[in-house]
Amino acid sequence: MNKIFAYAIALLVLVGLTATVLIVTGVIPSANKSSRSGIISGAPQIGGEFSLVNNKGKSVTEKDFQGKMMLVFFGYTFCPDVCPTEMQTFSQVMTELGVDAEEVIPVFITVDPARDTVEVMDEFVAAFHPSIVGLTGSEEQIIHVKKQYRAYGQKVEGEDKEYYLVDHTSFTYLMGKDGQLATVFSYGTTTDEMIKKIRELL
Amino acid sequence: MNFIKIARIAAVAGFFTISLNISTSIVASSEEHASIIVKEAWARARTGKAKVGGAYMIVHNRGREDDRLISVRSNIAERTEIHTTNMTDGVMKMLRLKEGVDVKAGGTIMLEPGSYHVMLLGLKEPVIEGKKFPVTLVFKKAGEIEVMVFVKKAGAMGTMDHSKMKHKKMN
Repeated sequence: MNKIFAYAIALLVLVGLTATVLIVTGVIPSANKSSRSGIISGAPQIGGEFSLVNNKGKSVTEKDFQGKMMLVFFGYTFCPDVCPTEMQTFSQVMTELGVDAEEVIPVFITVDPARDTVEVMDEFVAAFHPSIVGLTGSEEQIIHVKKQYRAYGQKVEGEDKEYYLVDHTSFTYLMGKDGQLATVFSYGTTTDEMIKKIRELL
Repeated sequence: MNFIKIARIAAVAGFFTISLNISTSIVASSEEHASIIVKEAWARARTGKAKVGGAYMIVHNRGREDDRLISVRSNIAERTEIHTTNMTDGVMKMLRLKEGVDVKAGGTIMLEPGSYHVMLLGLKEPVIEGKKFPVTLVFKKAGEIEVMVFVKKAGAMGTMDHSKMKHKKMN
């Protein structure tokens, strides 16, 4: 009895080992390997069509950015801390990319369209880098684009009617030239890391 | 004779060195408040249409007692508050710290981008690079300390220019 049991165990171990070896050596494709080409697989669709107004007052859609990579950040100009920091990162990325900067459009989308008018947006983005495009729009247009990017932006209701704060997503989305999400950078990602990723996609 | 001359020159040189140092680190408003040192106060330039701004600085408590920064005041904005930035699940939230911030004995509080900051709400005049403006910090024990805030460029990350771009002349 014991002998049969021991043989069975040995056989199972052997089968397991063989399978492992075959997967490792690549004879049997593993489930993980096939998804390695996409950086984020199984993630919900991020990006897509939108209709907004740029910082020069011109109506734009995602088609205006086709063929270029996009660095997308959601924020608001009344934000004196995090948003200027991220815009500074964008500015440095664009400067350091040199000629490759031609392939990238940095985009700042407001989550506070009520206060971020075209003029306010224009002044704000111009303070950082001439290439940064500021996008605003109607409440509905902003709600739509936030949905498209799974971005969050919520006004903090309080006693302050004029100088209210807005909680917002702190990620930066890197969209490929095909308009598909290439990767998401968390807040605090260095310019060098962003540049490296952008160059990989050139 | 020569010795006195040298001593004088040394004294003058020493005085200049000390005053140079002090001009960057701001002196407490009076002797008994010298337990709190506030230095490297700076702000980011804001555009003409901007209604809010932030100021940053380093607060050091070199005294033996814990203290607390309880409020801030300025003439440049309608309201001046102590805020912090919190990140939870990738969402940035700014919070007003109504109770202020503790500065432990021997401790240092960094008011810096992405963390504690002096929030200027309702700017009465544009915050232009190269300009400076006073802000008064009120401490529970040390009392009021006025600091001069130096305005850096819109995307500055500190009093030093950490960007890799060409170094401009420091003012």
